[in-house]
Amino acid sequence: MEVGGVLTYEGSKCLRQRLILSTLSGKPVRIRNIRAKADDPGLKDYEVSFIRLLDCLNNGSSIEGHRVLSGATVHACPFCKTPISITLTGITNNELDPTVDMICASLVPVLRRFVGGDDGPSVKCVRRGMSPGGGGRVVFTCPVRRSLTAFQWMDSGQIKRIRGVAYTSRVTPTVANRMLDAAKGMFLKFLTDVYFTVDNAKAVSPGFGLCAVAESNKGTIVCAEAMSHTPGQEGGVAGAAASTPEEIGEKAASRLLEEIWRGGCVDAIAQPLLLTFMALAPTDVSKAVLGPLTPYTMHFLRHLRDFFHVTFKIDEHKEERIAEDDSSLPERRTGAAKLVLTCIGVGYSNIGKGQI
Amino acid sequence: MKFRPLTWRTTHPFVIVDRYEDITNPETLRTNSKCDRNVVLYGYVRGIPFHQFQPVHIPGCGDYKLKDISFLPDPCPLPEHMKKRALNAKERLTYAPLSGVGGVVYDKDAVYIDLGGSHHGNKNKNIANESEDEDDVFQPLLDLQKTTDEKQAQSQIQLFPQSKFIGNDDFNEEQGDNPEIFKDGSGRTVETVKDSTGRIRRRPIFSDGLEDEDSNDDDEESESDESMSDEEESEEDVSNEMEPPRKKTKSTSHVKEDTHKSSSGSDSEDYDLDADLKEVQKTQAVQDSQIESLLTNRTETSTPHRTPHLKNNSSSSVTAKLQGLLEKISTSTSQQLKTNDTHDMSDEKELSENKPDEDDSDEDDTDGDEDVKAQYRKMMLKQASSDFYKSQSTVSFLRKFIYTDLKEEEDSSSEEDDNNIGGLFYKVSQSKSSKHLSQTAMDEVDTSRYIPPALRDWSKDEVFNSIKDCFVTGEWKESENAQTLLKMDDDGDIFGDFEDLESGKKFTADSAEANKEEIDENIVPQHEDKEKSAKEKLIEKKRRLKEMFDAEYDEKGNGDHFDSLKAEMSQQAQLNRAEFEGLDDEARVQYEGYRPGMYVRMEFDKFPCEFITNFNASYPVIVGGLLENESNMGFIRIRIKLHRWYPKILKNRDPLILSLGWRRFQTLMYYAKREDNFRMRSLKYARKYMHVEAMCWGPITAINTGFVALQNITDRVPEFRIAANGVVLEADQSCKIVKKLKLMGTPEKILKKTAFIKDMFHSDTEIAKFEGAKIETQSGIRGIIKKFQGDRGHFRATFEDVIKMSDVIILKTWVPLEMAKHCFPVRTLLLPPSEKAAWQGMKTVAQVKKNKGIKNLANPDSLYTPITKRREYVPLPLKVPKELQKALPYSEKPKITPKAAKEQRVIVVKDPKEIEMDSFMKRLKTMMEDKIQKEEKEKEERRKKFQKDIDDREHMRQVREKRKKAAACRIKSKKYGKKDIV
Repeated sequence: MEVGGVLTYEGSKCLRQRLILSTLSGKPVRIRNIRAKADDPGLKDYEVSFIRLLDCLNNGSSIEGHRVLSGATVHACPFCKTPISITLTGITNNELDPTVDMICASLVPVLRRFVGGDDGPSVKCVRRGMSPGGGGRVVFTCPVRRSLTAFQWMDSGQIKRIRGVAYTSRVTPTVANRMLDAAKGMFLKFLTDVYFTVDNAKAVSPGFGLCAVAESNKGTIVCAEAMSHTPGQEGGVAGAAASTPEEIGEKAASRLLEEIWRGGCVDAIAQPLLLTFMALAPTDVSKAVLGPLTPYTMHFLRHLRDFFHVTFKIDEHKEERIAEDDSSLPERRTGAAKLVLTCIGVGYSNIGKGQI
Repeated sequence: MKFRPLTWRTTHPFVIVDRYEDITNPETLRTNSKCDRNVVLYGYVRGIPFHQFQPVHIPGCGDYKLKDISFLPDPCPLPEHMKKRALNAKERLTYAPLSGVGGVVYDKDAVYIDLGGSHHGNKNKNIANESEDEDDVFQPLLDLQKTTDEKQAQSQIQLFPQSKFIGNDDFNEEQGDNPEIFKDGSGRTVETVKDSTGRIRRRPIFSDGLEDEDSNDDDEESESDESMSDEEESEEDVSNEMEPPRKKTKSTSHVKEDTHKSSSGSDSEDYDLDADLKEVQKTQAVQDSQIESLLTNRTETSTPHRTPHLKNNSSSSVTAKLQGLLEKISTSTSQQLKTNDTHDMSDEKELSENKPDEDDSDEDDTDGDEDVKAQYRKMMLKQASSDFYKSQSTVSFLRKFIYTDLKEEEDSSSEEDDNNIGGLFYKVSQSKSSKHLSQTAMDEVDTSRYIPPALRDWSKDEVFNSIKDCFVTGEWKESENAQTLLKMDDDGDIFGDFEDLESGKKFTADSAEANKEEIDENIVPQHEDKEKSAKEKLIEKKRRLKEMFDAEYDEKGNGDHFDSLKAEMSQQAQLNRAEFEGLDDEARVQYEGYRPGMYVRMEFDKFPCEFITNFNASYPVIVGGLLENESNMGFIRIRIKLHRWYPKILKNRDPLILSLGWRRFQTLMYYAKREDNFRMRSLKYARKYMHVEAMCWGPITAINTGFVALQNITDRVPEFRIAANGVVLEADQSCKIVKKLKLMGTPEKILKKTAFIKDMFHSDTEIAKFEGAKIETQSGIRGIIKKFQGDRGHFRATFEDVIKMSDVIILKTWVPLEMAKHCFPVRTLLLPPSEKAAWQGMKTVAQVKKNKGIKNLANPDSLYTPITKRREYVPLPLKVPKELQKALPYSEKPKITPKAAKEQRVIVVKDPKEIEMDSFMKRLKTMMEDKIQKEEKEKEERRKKFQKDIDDREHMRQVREKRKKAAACRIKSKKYGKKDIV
């Protein structure tokens, strides 16, 4: 809602979305009642560091707060003043957020597709850091672009291979093999081209997980991940049984299959990124096929409307069929019903990137 | 010459205003004639589509936000038949912007017809010929037999495909709360309840034996509706009052169409999209909440961050109750029922809590027993879960789910006012628990990852099969299918033409057989054609090579880069046109904005009254749309060049009026030169005949936007007015222009190459900032600042050579300029005509000085003084060091010149005695010398003899020693044997 010309929101939910979109659109945003009812009201320290990061990237931001207020950065970076190279430290893998492997696998290709160039964006995990110990190190580089181009991404293709990484930290290396054996067992029913790498890291905290990536013949990349619980709080309840590597492997595999079932040109975590690029494109029609929208994406769509006044046209995706004898042919079994999102971009241009 | 369209116009929408209306409430106008006005501007959209929420700038007026924008039918549509020699009176089209010619004026919801006075119609009959044309236009309107209301009463409408037609009679029948039950589009049974105001409500009925509950609630709803409708009526009255009367000198008749307000939603004749949407929303409101709840259930991170929306003064209806139940199940709070206007989010407990506050509709409510609710809950959840993906796929619903509830959210801000009863007291509207719940929903974990809550068993066949074709191992798309591709090949040439590259022979399908024979035949006359075929072969080979080369280089990509770009652009343009072609304008506007060529009505509030009072139709009014970040201010860096016809020069910090994009503003310009190391050095004046960079405070504008600068826009001046032009290079929030600063100090104490410097800084903290900075003396001896010494601002520095006490130590630095943030929009549109051309804004320093007669005294150091005569130069004698002299060749060596003869002394004349004495002395001297010589000789002989003596004695001693040693050894060897001696 808008109060006195300032977009005003409540609560800590979607904080990053709002801040990023505010940064991009140059519109002031006010977020009130952050954890007003919680025992420790106000911003958490990871949110504070996110704001610090934004402040570093920005030029001329001013943040006011009586009670002072990671992944989302990717959105804004192509529109910075200067090319950036950030070294982020902390936890690289946890159960809640997109892990560094997922970002590498899913977001970076999307970013590269639209930002592109020889000096294209990259995310490099220098060292892993499991929760709660952290200690990971990730280097993110991204060039600067002045504007984007409109695009139509209508065909997600078919999955041609499955890759992935099984990572462990401070556990016996056989865990990785056990995980990927279990995962492979599920994938091999669909496809033979399944290959995993093992990364036996030595992070601060122990943990293990499996990130599976499916690549299609049209450049679509879908990824999913499962990892062990944080030590000490298994399943959120202290003392609950820790998961076995086989369970993790199967979980990761079935999550990936679920993602494949959902389908679309990008996977669930890359949906908002793709929509951002669509909305910021020149005033031309952009189209993309997506699977069912995630709640986060739905919020993102709303926020895109708030900040950029871009309304997406949502249609059902129907596969083109050759007219001849379609009555006899059964529908292709490609999982959930897909959506076509269409919008006209706002013609965003990076005003910060100067000319000599 | 081909002119390319201006980039600004292809990236910004704009409207040239051809009509305006002042719709301010006349009462406020009466009380305060200078109050801010509500103004409506009309015109055709140009450039690119105009967005609904686009911020706008009106040149000469300022930045505004659109309160409302809508499109109207084109007042001057294109004539349908192009070939016409003359227009007859009926088809006359008059379009005269800002003149009011034409008589008929269309507005958003009304058509105004100028009749020329109250007895116009009568007059016309008398003076028939005079206004014949006008009659032709208005006669159909004047001849109307029925009013719109009557027409509406007769019309019928079908809301859903299966439903029967609803006419006005149906409403009358239903007046007594006769619920009409019919099936809606999705096959769900829906009950229509008609209330006193003719409003239709619908809610789903489930055939699970819950009729009793329903019937209980019916009364309740009707009661609530009654109370609601009263309210709405009053609201409507208010809105009618607010409807601004037209400001017209002549009397106007007012044919007003129905506005399709939500209150009179379904019974309108024109079944427009808006009403439709609302209707569907009503029926699907419950479904919405299901989805919402299910979403939250599925993801286990409940999505909605909406605050519970309360309108407690409106009593709880059945639908509201249903919702309340749902919300108890999930934490979500649904806002879908805005148009239903009665929604109470709270749970059952809260309902009962609230009851004492509400005067009616309580008694029935209490008997809602738990069993029924549990059933409800179960059923709703079950249905919702089964419908979830199905309803996601019904995209129209998804669209609404994502985009509509946002509006409801806004209403929550008014919740406080609603709860206010009589100033002092507040209704307790939310129980703590629900508030807490909504808060937790707002503060949920913020993650972009989607984790499917429940994992399916992929080993099951049906689950497994559901995604089988997602893989390359599954079935391919028909267009990509190998079979289809083969088939397509079949049609063309599966056994088609191919070329034997070896022999260079071509084979075709139908002549395959024939070829065989041919080959056989060819063998026979081989020898004859040998020469010929060799030649042909060579030609053929060359041709093939050329083709290969062409395919790889010359004709690659079928044209050059420019062509492919053009093709891409045209393809995109075609897509842009085709994408929203089928939609109707109302929906299209939502996605696309108002397309160029549409006639739009733009409403503004808080418009300055001067716009109305000083309006001049000869002065164009442009409403220019701004892009997202263009309404912000910042420092803009520009490249500027003084116009070569402009007679003056531009001084740093002098005001300049820029025309940039839509805007015209006066700002202070700071000129700078970009040096080789990219430093922007401040300049005192803009260079002539040369581009310089400059910075100023102004609206952020897209890069590469051109501008024109003027120093004054006042009345006509004899000289050329355009001072400069240029282009925007960058937007920034900090100033990058720097100015040179030299800090000077003197040595306090010098220790060889180290020195202590004073008078440069005031404190040690200042020095701490400059540690390691380079310094130098005026003579160029370089040094470095080491460390502060004491707290008086002294510091230690080292130099490359010994400096002198008389030296001045200089520290060269650059300081960023502090720029004044002055930017004043030129508001010529608001000025009265007399002042329009006289506006000046800020004056230049020179003008101010001239006006006030201020003359600055020049710094005497900067003045030129006459050159006085220099003293003569006396070179010092050249001294060549001895070492150097030695090394020089003889020709270069300084020569030893013979000494000048001694000066003649006074001649002494000796007397004979003296001469004798002299000779005696001479003899004595000679004798003495001789004697000494002799003694010397003897001494030498003595010494030699003595030396010989010593040498002899030494020799003898050595011989003795030798003998002694030999004797001793002999004895020893006899005693111990030879071995032990060694």
